[in-house]
Amino acid sequence: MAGDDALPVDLAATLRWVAGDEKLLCELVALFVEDAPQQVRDLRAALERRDADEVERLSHGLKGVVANFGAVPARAVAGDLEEVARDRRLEGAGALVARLDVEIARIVAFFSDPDWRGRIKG
Amino acid sequence: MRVLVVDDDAMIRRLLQTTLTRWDYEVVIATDGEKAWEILKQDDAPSLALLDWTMPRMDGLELCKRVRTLKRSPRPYLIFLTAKGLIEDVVTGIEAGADDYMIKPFEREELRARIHAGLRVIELERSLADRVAELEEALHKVKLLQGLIPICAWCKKVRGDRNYWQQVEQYVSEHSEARFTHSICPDCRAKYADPEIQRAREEHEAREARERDRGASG
Repeated sequence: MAGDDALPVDLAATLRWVAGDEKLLCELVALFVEDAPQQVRDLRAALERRDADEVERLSHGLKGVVANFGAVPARAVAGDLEEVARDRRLEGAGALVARLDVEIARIVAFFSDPDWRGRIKG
Repeated sequence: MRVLVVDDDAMIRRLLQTTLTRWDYEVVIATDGEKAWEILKQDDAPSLALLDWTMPRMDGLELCKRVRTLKRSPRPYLIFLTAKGLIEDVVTGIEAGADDYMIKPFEREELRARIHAGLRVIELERSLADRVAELEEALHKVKLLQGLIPICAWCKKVRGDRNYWQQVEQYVSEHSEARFTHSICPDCRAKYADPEIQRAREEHEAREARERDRGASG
């Protein structure tokens, strides 16, 4: 199981989330791969506008989404970002958005490789 | 049984739609609070809704407050399904009018059980509303009998709502659940029935006597 630690998501938790329905999981993953990069871009744009409400809303949404995949680091960063936006402390938010971007890019990259399905059973 | 899913995230909507459909619920979808409000304010709205909190246009909290202003009974049963997981969020959500609160990511079996709990509450509220309606109707009838009822001092007929005179027992039967079974009281028996019986008996005896006389002479 040491290899699983390197995965950006927790496949066992993800599969539990959809009650073992791999077909549904593939649909949800496709939606994520399609939507998440745009949401990160929106997040960046909201931060540039110093729109704290929108930063809070978008990071909150992403937090919920990555949590479904058991993506612990991504969830933590999104949670931190939501909190600083809520407290109107946007000074450090740029670094958090960059970290979230990296984490989400890792998840997207993982799911973009069609081999990910083979890892579910392994 | 229809369930409204309100979430701005396409993935969550897809997941909930598939899951709920598999559990034999009919799923109605709204992508933000404003669209959900348009659906929930209708009289034939789904009786249970799963709400995200953070959404563009109208958020779940505002939606809860609006649903609480609805006059009809039972009001839709609202379950928050949100990533907002702080204790103060849960308190705020329930105080705003939500009936239940679940934190994302959620366990499907827990969601299923909580929906079942919601259905029990909806069923209970419905049967209570029916019972109250029945009682109100019964009370209305009792009130009709409590009013001032004009009655004939001589024949005891009662003047009804549509201004014609009717037998008192007919009037009471129409205005209450009471029904009459006809009998005779001791006073009336002595005054009316006994003399009648006596007269019939005398007639009968007289007839028999006549027939006896006719037999003896013939």
